[in-house]
Amino acid sequence: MKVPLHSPGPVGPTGRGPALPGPSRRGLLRAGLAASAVGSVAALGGCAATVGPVGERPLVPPKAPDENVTLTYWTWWPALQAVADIWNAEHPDIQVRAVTIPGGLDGGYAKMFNSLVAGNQPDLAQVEFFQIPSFLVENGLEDLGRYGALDHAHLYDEWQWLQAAHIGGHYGIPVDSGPLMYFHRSDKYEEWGIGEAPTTWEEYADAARRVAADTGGSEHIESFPVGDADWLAGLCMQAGARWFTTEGGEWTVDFVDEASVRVAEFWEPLVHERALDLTHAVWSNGWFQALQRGTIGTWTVGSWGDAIIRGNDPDNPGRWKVAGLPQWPGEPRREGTWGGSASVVLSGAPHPHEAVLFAHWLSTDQRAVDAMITECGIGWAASEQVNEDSVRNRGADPFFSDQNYTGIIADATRHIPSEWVWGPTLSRTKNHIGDAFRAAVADGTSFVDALAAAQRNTIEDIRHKGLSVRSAS
Amino acid sequence: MTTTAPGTPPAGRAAAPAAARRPAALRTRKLIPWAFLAPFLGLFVLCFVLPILYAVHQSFLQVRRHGLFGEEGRETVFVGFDNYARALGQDTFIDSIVRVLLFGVVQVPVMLGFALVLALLLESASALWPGFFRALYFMPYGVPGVVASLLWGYLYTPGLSPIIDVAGLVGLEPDLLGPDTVLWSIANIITWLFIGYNMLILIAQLKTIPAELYESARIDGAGPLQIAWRVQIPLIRPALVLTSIFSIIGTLQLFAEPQIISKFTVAIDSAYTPNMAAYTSAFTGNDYNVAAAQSVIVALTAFVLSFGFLWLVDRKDRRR
Repeated sequence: MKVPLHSPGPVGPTGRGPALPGPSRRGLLRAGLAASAVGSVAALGGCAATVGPVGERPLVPPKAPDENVTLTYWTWWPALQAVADIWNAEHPDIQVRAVTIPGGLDGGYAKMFNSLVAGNQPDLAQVEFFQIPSFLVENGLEDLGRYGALDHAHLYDEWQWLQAAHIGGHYGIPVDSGPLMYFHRSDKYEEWGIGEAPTTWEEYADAARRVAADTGGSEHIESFPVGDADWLAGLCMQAGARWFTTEGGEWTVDFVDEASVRVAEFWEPLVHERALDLTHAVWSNGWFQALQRGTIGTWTVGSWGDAIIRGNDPDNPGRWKVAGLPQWPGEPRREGTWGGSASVVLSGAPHPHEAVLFAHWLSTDQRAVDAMITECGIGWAASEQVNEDSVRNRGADPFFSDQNYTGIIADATRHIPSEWVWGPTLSRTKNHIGDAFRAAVADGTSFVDALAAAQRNTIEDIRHKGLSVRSAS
Repeated sequence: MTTTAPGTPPAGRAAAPAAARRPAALRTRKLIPWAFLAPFLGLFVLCFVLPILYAVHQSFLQVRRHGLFGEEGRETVFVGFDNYARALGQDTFIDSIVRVLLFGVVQVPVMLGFALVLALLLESASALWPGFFRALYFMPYGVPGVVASLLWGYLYTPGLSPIIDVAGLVGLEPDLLGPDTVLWSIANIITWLFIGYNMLILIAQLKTIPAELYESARIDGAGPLQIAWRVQIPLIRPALVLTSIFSIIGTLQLFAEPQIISKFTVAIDSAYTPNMAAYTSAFTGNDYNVAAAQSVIVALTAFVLSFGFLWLVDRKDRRR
């Protein structure tokens, strides 16, 4: 699989063979060029084919007892080496080296895909849950069920574990997730006369309109995350939507089911009426400042947002509170997720057994989880148990108005739908949703049409991958 | 440029009798230029020709998959021009080509016009400290495009930009990052970056104009404007053609500047220029086949435009 095996080198052995007559300079040059040309073309074209379908690949045996191996872990957390060092101190025969790469869609995934073609893939890599199907489409992941991962399944939250299970295989060990939480400024909610966090979306809409009207548009309940597909997917998941389903080897795409349309029709008037803030883009400096000042009073985000909120406003404990999402009346309680990642083994990596051992330790050892919380700022760790025993859970949290932060999230995780499936071309889907919603907000057009446009483009993408797909409607 | 050498070097004649005596020596001598060329040719083939051939090859392939993820088999098949049809079937890709063409039609003449005026001013007899100003105007070219884009990006952002603050004092509220304006904000960055570079090429050729021509023009009674119009501009025509072609190619390859500015505004989407579209296909969609087709289309467009421009210029020359 390594490239040099294919390449005979710039000057092949014939050029040096003592039995052959001395080649002319031009001959040598020509031979060299031809050899390197053939070599590199063979290397470029040949590699992808050497990795067969995951089930048919031969099992890689575990290392010999006296053998020392070094595993490479590609992650976008710069501090992961500090966590791996805890493991390294106890496992001299399996050393782990963390290599910091760009964040997933900022180039990290492209780097992984290229490493698969070039044959220099790392032993382990961090991949977000939504991206796992995209890697499967490229035949890029090892089935960890073949390397002992399923023995540990009971130690993980089911809704997290299942996000890495596809077509009868298991392709990742969950590291962290982000249950969608409703972070809000309780002091401002008092001042605005809202009181506690809204329990239904109707209450939310009323409160949003009231705040905007009472303050003449200078303060808002929340900033609308224009074009943010992760946020939108989380809210549709919460409403009971299922964007992707599979049946008999065929994908069904449905961005405009009843639940998604309900979500789109809920936000559209709030945005077009300017009941939500649109001047400060979420994540911009102005927006962070507005959260501090209280002119924006809410952030609906994955539970990993807590570290960011604390960092943005560290000197004022007691201002913020956290709650589950407002609910849809007449429906069972449901929550959503935003983000989350797993440790995966890229196909063709040399030490899958040892990689699974480390990945499992990383996600379930209490010291590792605590170190990831303090060093990497992770969200909800892979099981309720490790979260409850973690450094984050030390009873009432003064920053969050003496709430039991971990308990509130644990409560929410019990209502996360576990049947949600991510599609096989999600990174493009996120682009399509972003482009369509940015245009809809700018032009004041229908959010449902934006969803429909994103659905059309997504179906096209999946078809272009050579997969069978249909629209639900 | 038409440089007619006064005579061919005598090497051919001198070599002929030697070759009759020693054919091996002749062969060695013929090889010498190739030996000097070899480092260039080797790298050229490896880093330029082969990747292009590989991209063209990729642009004719597609992967067909069976099952939900291709787990029941996959094969790479030759699909002819299907990837090209897909690329051209995307409205966003067509939009991006139209966008850079519009950009080029406006920005290239403006930039080269400024560069020409600066070059003529610095080469005029009355220019003050021409060396100093030449270096000064050239300086932005030393700033990498990414850095220049960051710098200008802050100058375009309300709240951070002194330019917008000053505009506010006189009652203007320019939206330099809006959907209708951001293209021209990028044009401003490119112009700022490349005026000095193009100016320098034009000056280099202005310096080759023999002094006698100026002298005789002045004796014929030509003023500075007439000298510029009737002597200098016609004589630096080759340099103008060259800079135009460089600029046309550069415009089609627009990438770094809009990519950086997209961090400052939502008005730039993932396929704002053809190269950004190819980049998104390859590195977001992981579809290298369509990305290859898009790249080939960009290259062919640049090829057609460059040679079309040359042909146009050439035809005018012949008609004269």
